[in-house]
Amino acid sequence: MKQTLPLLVLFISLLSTPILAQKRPPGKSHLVRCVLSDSLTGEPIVNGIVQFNYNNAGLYTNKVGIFETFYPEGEVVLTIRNLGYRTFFTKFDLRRDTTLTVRLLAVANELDEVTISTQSVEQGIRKPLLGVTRLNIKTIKNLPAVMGEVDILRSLQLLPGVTSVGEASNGVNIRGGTVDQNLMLFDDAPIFNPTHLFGMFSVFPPDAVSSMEVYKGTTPARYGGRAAAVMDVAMANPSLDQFKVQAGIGLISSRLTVEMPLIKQKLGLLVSGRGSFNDFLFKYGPPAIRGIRANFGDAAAKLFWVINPKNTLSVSSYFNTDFFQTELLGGVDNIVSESTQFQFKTLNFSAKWFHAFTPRLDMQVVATQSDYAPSILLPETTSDNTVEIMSRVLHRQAKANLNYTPNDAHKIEIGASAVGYLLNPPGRLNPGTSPSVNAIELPGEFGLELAGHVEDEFRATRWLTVMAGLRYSYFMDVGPGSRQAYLPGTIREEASVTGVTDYARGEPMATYGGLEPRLGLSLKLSERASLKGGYSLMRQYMQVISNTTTPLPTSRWKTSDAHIKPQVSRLATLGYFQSSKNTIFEYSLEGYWRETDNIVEYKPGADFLLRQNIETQLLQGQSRAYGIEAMATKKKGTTTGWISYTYARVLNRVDEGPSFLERINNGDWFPANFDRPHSFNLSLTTIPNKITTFSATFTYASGRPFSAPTGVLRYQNRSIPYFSLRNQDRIRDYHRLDFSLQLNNLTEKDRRWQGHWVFTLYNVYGIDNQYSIFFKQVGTGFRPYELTVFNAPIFSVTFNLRNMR
Amino acid sequence: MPPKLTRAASLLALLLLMQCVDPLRRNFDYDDNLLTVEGFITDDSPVLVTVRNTRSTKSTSFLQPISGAKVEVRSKQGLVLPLRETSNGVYESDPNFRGLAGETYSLHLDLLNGQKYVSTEETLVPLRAEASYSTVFNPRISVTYQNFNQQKISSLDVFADFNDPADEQNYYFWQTRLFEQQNICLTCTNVEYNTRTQDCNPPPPSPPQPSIFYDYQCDGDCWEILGDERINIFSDALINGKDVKGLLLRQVPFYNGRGALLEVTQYNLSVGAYRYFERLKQQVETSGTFVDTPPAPPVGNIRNVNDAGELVTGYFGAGGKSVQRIWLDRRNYPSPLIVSMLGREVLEAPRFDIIKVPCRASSTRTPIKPIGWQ
Repeated sequence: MKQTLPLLVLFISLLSTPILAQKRPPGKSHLVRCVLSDSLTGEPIVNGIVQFNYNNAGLYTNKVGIFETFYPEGEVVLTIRNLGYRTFFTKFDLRRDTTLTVRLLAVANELDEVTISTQSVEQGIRKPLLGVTRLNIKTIKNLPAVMGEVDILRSLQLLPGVTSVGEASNGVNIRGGTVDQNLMLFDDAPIFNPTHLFGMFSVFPPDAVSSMEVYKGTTPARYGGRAAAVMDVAMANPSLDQFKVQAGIGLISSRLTVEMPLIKQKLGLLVSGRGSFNDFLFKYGPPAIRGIRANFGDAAAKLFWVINPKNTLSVSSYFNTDFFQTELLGGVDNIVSESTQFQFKTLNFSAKWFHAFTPRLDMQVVATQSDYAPSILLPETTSDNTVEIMSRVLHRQAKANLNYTPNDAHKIEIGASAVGYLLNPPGRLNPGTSPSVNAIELPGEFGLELAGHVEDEFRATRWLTVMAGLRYSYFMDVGPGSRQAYLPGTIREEASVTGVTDYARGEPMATYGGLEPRLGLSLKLSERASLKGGYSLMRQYMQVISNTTTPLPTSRWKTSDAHIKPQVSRLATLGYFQSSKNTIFEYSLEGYWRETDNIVEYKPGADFLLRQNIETQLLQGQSRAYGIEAMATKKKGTTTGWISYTYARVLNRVDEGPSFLERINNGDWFPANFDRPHSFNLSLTTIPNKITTFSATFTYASGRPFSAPTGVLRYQNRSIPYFSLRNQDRIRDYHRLDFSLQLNNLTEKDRRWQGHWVFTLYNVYGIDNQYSIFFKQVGTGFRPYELTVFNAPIFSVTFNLRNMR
Repeated sequence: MPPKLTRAASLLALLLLMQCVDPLRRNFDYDDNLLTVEGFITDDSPVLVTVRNTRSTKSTSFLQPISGAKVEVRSKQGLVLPLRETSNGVYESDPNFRGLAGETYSLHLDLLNGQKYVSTEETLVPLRAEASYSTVFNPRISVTYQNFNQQKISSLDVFADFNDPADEQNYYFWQTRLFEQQNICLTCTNVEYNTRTQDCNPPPPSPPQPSIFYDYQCDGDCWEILGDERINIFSDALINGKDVKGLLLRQVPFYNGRGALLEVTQYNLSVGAYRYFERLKQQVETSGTFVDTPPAPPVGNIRNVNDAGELVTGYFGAGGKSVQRIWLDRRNYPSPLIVSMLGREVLEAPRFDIIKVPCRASSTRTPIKPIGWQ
């Protein structure tokens, strides 16, 4: 919905401006005219947003950077902004027709890096949503990036409440949620594997991203299907009036983005690609890494069509691929292969039609498809054949939203959606020509989720704004399929199967559903301070099944069924917000409490590979997460940035029965893999002049838990560590400092191309942070080892280029 | 490749997977008291069951054999086979007893402390796919010695080939014992050997740094028995009915340029036993990366009758068995890397030629020439 806001604004502008401009409305109104241009180039700014009195609905400047409207007499606060420019505020008494000439400062040239914020300044006080973070891609690009690869997920971890298990982490954990409890959308289509090369880089091509919104508190009712947070990444719209090219060459990957107006002001196309093809260099490296192959690529394309002032259509597609081979990662037991290769492909489509009925009523219809296919490739030792273990997740969604703004006090949204989940197959072993491996195919899983929602954001009093939403979701595990029944009161295992029920095509095998209330309250304490509270209930019907520290790209996805109940999470939040008098500083203090039912844990020694009736390997339990997040942000000036401290815990409890196979840690609460109680982040960006941008980030977090041996076991004549508890010890605390320096070439501003260099120094003081502690056999004994990743300063250079005209 | 490009390449390589595995100096606070019961009933040998307790406290552990227990194997047909304690914590059947194919057995234990334990029932399924073994010379592998020294050494890699029968689920398990001729029967650290006490002298109050080693020759023939360093299991879940070729069982280092004897015992496991060894394997055969399966208690099929919550490790299994002995001839390989079993040169003690130390029989050493030694 947030993405539709500019569109909404656009259409109000397109529809209403001519009418308003031509006819003076009855009552005491005056004409407000604004001429908007770039302070440096003097070029008119097209589609700049103009808002009156902090109203969400606003106007857009036209093709020549001008807007005109009539506005009732009285005090007016005018906000004028455009992406990439410093926002302009002015307050005046509207007594007569007024013309303003505003020259906006481009952020690239000057000051102001207001871009990571818990709320934008004008919304921070009143908006009832708590825990919404908007990240501008420009801010992310300024932050130091590992090996120069701009990375949304790594940047996100600088925010309070967002952590991960470490350097190699396939996703992020938000307020105690697992990686798969986050709904990660790229242009409305879900992403099932957010990182390349086992967590090294995130999959979003930075030049195709316009912004990202993270909902870690109250989630709007239009989102559903996952239990923790929402990360809504918007793909940039192509420019409709200018041909643009951006390119970058880095140590790891190279990038190219082209924006083409196909019909001026009507139809535009954006194509963006990124690829890394440098891994052939590994074979010249030290022997230990000669076996490594690592390549990835992603591509995005978007067609944006302004059909007429009432209709727009956008169609986008996103593709990514990843290939990783190393002997450092274990093989697959029982298949004799010379190496293990991991590979995945994503192919997403989304289409969005926007229709404005009236300036106050509009509709958005979206259809998406996500197709995710990971595989493990095992080249056989004895032949040229490669054995493949693959799976495929197909997620199809159709949804429609009606947005109605009857008056300034209410913003109403009604919507419905249908999601088809198809895991076909959840696992397949493809032997190729292998004489020694059999074909195996697990039966497909089909799920249907239907949901409807209604939400109203309204001003109850001058001091209280409420967002009240209600979602209802209904899930059906649909045949064909079969379901095993187990002897009641026994452990779910093959030995206790009492019978199998078969279901025909389309027959419901299990159904779940329920209401999902969402509530946000904002109590304005003063002009600069507010107290906000929220409550969200979310249901999740498909999850990743994993017993590793962080899910692998090849981890299996599983829809809820008769045995695996959907995860249900309830989150309550409370926060205090204050901004300084001149809105330079913003302070926030938030607390949250989350309870999740039916989290999925694995039995001791579970094995998921190509296993049918996976419920025999799983246990379900509860999770409890709570925390306090404090943050101070400096939003304006030569130096901007933020500092944050978080205290957060994530504890799980699994107790399905008295046997050790049915409970974890004796049925007591134990810390989750990503439970890191203390974290501290500091991020500073300074732009002392037009050509230099310097950024520094520092991050500290408590070490994550790991399972330490509680004793020693003798087997034959060997001593083997014995683990009776899970996650009862911790690795060392983590801390790291990074620098980044960006040099813009602005010497000749009339040049056709502009280049800039980005120098990054990652892990400045070369700390050897532990990734894991593990135990290896040495002779007849064992000893602990530590694995450290990125344990020395890493310097990298990236060169970026874009056309200026 | 031009030097500039080489530099760039090694830089990139270093960067992309800048990771490092190092031994960690850290003690863990153990606190566990663990009963371990191990036994196997086969159609090829008498039953042998060991009952031991491992007490782990602070950062050490003690192995305590459990004596005086009443141990019985019972069959579904009504056979009760009492086992006799032959040495501390070791219980054996009549030497002529052999398990019967198709029969189902369970183990019953009554300890002196009054606790009673029972195993699940295991059916003896004979071995149907006996493996054949081959060796391949591997010029260089890395071996970690007991003193944590890593050494490069040549090895003979031993592989198993077999044809998996199609009509059933099969779970394979191999145990190997390597017999190496041992010349050095005792090493005293920082002190000399005392012929009167037949042991090393007590350690000096201030030991020299680095330590000084005194190696003493064996009195007569002696063989070192080296157990497995990995747990060799295989399931036909993915390959049922097909031929398996080149399954690596063991890498036998070139401790000398002569020969060694490898005794390979192949078992047929039940699915429960397979899962147990799988869990055991996960305890130590990990890499530290996030693909590792997290460790879980290797609890087997033995339960305390009165306390379902007590974790008992070990497994009482039943299955067919086959033993093969392979003579590993290390001669005639091109310039192999040889490192002695000590992981260093022999450091002759004073009076090296005079004082010889007896070869004491144990589970890791024998003065009796093994069957098949050439």
